Amino acid sequence: MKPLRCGLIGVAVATCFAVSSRQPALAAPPEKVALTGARVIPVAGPEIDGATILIERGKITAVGADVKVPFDAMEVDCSGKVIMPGLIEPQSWRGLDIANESLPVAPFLDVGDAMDPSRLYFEDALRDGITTIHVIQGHNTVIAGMSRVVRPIGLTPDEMTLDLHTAIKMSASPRNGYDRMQQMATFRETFRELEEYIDTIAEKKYEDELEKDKKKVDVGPSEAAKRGRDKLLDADYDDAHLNLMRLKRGDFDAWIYVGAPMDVAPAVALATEQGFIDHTILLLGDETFKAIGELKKAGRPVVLPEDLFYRERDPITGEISETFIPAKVHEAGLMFALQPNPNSSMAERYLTYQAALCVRNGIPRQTALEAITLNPATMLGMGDRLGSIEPGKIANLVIYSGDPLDFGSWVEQVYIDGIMAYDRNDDPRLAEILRLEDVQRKAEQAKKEAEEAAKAKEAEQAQPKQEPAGEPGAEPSPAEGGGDSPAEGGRERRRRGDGQ
Amino acid sequence: MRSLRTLLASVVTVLFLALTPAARADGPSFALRAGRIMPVSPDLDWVIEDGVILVIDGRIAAVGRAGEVDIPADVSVTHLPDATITPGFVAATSDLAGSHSGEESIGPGYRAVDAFNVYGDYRSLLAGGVTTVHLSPGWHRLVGGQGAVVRLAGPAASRVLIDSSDLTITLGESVFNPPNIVEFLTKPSPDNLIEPAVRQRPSSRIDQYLALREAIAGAVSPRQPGQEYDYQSEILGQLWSAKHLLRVQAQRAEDIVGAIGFLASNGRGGYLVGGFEASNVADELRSSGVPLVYTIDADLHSPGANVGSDPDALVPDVTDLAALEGVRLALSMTAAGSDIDLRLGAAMARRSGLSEQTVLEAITRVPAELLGVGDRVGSIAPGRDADLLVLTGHPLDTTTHVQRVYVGGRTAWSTPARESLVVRGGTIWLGRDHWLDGGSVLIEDGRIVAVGKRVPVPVDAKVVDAGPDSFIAPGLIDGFGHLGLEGDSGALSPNLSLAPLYGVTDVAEQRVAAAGVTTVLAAPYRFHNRGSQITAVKTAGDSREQRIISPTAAVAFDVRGNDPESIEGSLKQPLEAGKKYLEKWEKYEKDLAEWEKKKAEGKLEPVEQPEVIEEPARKPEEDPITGTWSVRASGGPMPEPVEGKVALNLNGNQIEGRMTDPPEATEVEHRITGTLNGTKVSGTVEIDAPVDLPAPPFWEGEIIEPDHIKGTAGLRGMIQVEIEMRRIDKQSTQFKVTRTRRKTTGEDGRPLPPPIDEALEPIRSLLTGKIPALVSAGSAAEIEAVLAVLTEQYKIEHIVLLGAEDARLTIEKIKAGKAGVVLPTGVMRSEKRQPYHQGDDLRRQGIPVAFQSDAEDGARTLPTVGLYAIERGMSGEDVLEAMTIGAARMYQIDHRVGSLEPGKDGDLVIFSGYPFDASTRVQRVFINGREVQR
Repeated sequence: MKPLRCGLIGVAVATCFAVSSRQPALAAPPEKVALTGARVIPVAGPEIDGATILIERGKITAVGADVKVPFDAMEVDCSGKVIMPGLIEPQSWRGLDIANESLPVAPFLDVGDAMDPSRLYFEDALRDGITTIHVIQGHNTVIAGMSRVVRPIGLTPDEMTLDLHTAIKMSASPRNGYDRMQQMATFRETFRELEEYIDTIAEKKYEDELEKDKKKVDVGPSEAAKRGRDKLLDADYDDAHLNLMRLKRGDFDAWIYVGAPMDVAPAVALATEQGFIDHTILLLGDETFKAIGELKKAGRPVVLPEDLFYRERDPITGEISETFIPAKVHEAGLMFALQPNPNSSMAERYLTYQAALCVRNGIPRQTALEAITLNPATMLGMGDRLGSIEPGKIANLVIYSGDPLDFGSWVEQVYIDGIMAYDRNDDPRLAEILRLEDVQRKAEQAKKEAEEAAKAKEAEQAQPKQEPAGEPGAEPSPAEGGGDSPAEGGRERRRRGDGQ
Repeated sequence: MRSLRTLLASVVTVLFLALTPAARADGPSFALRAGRIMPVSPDLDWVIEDGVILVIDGRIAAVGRAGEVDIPADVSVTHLPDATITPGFVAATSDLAGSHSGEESIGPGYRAVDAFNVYGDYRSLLAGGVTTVHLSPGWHRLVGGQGAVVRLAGPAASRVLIDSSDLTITLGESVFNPPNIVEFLTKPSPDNLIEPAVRQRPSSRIDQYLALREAIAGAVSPRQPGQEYDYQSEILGQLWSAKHLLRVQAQRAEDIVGAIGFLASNGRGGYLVGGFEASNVADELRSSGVPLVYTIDADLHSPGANVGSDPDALVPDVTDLAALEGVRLALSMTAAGSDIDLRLGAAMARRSGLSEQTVLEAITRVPAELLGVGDRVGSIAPGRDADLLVLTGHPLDTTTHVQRVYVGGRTAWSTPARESLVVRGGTIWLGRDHWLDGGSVLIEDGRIVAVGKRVPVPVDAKVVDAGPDSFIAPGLIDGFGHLGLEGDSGALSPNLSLAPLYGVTDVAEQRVAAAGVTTVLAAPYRFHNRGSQITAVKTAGDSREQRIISPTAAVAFDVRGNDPESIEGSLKQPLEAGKKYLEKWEKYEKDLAEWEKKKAEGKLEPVEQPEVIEEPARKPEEDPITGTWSVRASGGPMPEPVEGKVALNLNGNQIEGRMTDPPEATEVEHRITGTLNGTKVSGTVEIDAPVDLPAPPFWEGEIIEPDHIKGTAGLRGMIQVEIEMRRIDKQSTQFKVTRTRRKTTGEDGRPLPPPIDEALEPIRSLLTGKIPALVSAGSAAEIEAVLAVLTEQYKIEHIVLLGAEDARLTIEKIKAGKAGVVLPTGVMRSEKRQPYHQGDDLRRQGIPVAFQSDAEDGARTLPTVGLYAIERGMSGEDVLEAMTIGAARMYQIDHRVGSLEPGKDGDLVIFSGYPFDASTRVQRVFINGREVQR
């Protein structure tokens, strides 16, 4: 690789980082927060009882049983609770207004243009402890647009975005109206046409420079195309080709849906041929595990289907067989991520339940926990920032009432970037659904207290009122969340946080 | 020639073994030895009788006659003497890939292999013997794309044989007027107008060649500057320049001629597919040398078979196929659904008059070679993949079925195991002088289902073809033997049967079975003077149920050597007892019938209930026995412990009690009595048992600690079990005590059956005509005395005389008594120094006869006994009848054995010729439809 090109890539990457680090337009997190007394499941290491997690400016700075709480930190007592890293949903298009556009090949699209932050889905995700969502287009495509990694908080897509241009979506299984011959022919044609296009603009580039710089020699079209390639800048590409070129260059990953076992080999062959196999994540369909030999050979991380059991009736003998998919994938030694099943009204719609199902069926607890935190973080290229409780990582934390894989446990609070983004005691919709008695009782109590305060105010009318408002100190600390009236919703809370 | 070929085969084998392990160790190794192998290879015989195929690592290493192929010591050999093995069939057309949905009329970039599911379950195709198929990208475009050749089983990675086997071109109406192409980069909008659609060709028959030539010319010429890049055109150029194999699909005569011309004018190799009208242009095909894959239309159930009155309609007519003899021909089916039944297609082609060799090659070797996989599949030869079919007979015979399919040496499909057997033979013996020339017997689940010239052949049946010289007869019956007694010469008690002697076939029994003797009337060496039971038993089987035809097939008496005067007395003794016993039963049956009649008429009178005594109320104080006890009985003959409850009362030192649990126990009338002696208890259980017990069951035990008794119970000298009792409450119970020990009527006045006497049951069966009496008698006086008692006094209809050496002297009496005779082992007699054959003599008089071995496993000589009888002048048919249906009728077991008739047991013997000819051997024996191992 030429040094110039390296430099260019470096600049491009730096620009990207600059852009993405500029993205969060959310409230500034509290300076220092210490969560104390909880059992911490860091995922990156052994579980710690009675640990303290120190968060400074939205980042975790210390974790351990012997971490001292600095005098200026806001201490939140989490005794009896369990804290684990924020859960990561590895793929979702439920934040989009439609899952797929009608064009079969559309690598120039960006999911940010179709995201709707007001979707209840984001609120549900937060309630279930999901702090990071990979928003990506659906499977009904050949080559779809670019995905984003988002937080389920924020008022605009850009506010929500944590990472831009995370991956490009492809499907090796035929889209609607296509068959496999046409699907694969479209792939081949697209990548062949890309080379033709690059040759054309490279040749033009060389010829343009030839005109500018008289020293250069006319070398004929094919040699010109070869020489011109090194001189191409990203700006020389049109929208339809830029992202495909960047994919081949390794700027981002391809997330390829392989809905049937027979799709695995062609998908792997395509990615290998086009040089992005090392940047490929495979998204499995219900039956795809049958190609476990090929998946193992490819050695790429996989996202498992929503339904973890595959049931099949032999068409001849009528025997029903059942396969637990994670066991097959784990046996093959592949990194895998779990996803919740949004179509299920049952427990499968919780990521923690999916992980618990794995443990129940013989997968080690650590592996199951990684499959909903660290693994998806790694697959998204953010393993250094997300997925575990370690110093230096973003403070995305979920506080559970008990063990997260215990189905009797619930999410108490969720911290995103060190900000308390969700509090169960301050969740009016949940209160309405569950008719939580304690929420109602607290609401009544708050009402009574307000009345009493009003009476007291009447009685002490002579004295001037001293109520601090709008100062940083008024930032609701996690401990006092319960005091709010039920009318004040989680969204209200976020908005208030956003405003500061 | 043969030895040279053998040598060659060995050399190839050795080479192959040397090369193989490193090259490919991806399949199993085994050898198949089969009755017939049809290798369909030009280098080998058309049929190899008794051949062997050696498979090493999933590939064929050697083929040849058994004994001429060296089989390595570590390779297992499967012997399939009835099977025919052919190569797996190759379907040169299929719609497994479907048609691609692209719109381009010239679409060489579409690859059929993309649509092939390498994980698919193709058992329905494999069941028809198809192991390799061609995938077509469709018949709907002028240049449809690239075909592929795949096999239907094996590891996913090994299923694709060629991913791009050909460039498929289709000519004819189906490709005319393809859709116009509309292309847009983004969704149409006011500022992004849809470009006019691009018209596509061809629109007519002439245009198709023009469009094709133009496309090819455009594709092979270099792209002009400014000319838009066209992916499909680039691929067409690459394939055309590389001289990719051309596959031209055409049905109409004019398109076939056009295709031949197209190939010739371009100097390209290729083959034609389709050819509904090929017979009209057979001469052109022959002279051009272009091979043809003829697709047989077998859309049997589709309205598509209706063509109406259109004179130009394509009417596929397989009968024209014979005109194509001389054309290099492969046969395939129009793929309706995905059911490619090549065997049906082949059968239709055979009916058109094509030769067997042409047709079989047309579904195996020829299509394999046309598709470019002839070096891997399509024939059985060293180096080819072990894609093999195990068939029940000739592959083109419609009653043949595929039993097992190997793909790459792995079993890809096999018929589900079922006990269904078809035996074909040159002659089937249906009865005396009733021979069926060339027929079959179908046996299912051990029973004969059909016998005839053509019987149904279920798909999963095992088929045994015994050949045209074979003679199939029912299993032979030994009229009197001692199978399994092992020299025990004791007289058998009248209440015992020999049935418990027989279970899984032992070696001695198997020798008898293998000799063709399938049933033996087993008798003790000596008979009890009250009569002994004779058991009808099969000579082979896996269980007693399979082997026993009747545990009591006859009651045997021996009157030999007795003073004729005393015969009457000795016979009358058991018969009289039996008669009284029978009368009891007859009375019971009569009473029962009357009772039921009355009940039906509603005239039942209230029945006097048996007297019941109420025990006086128990004293209230506690004692060590009174109360309810839980009982646990274990050990002895009981497979697992039984638990129950018993209520006991103590009165003085006398114990009185009843079972209260399990509920079944309370339904049996019973009474537990006993005595308490210190800490020891002992007593009996009086049961109103359905069988007479020699003595009431006992129970005894010791109170080892309060409320805990340990001891034993059972029948003295026979059964003993451990019992353990724990007292769970101390309440006393009041018992109803019936005075009558045995009741003659039930609660509702229903008459109860008399107790069964095992010793008299056979006599009862005899007196009611269910079984015959077998009487060993020799002299005329003995025979006459026996007949006088049995027929005249007791009206017994079925009498079998054992021996009856002097039968000739009292022939009229025997005839009158309708008795049969089990011939003595030495059948020759003489009268006035004139030798005569007793069997022949009796048969001429119309008296039924049977043969006996009078031996244990010596029964295996019975066929020789028949041979001897014929040698001494008896007719073969008489002997065969006497050894089969004659003996069966005599013992009244002819509903199960003795002849080959639907409903009877599947016992048959395959002889190499007429059973008693000197050169004839017993070839195979089947009992209950299962072959007796030799």
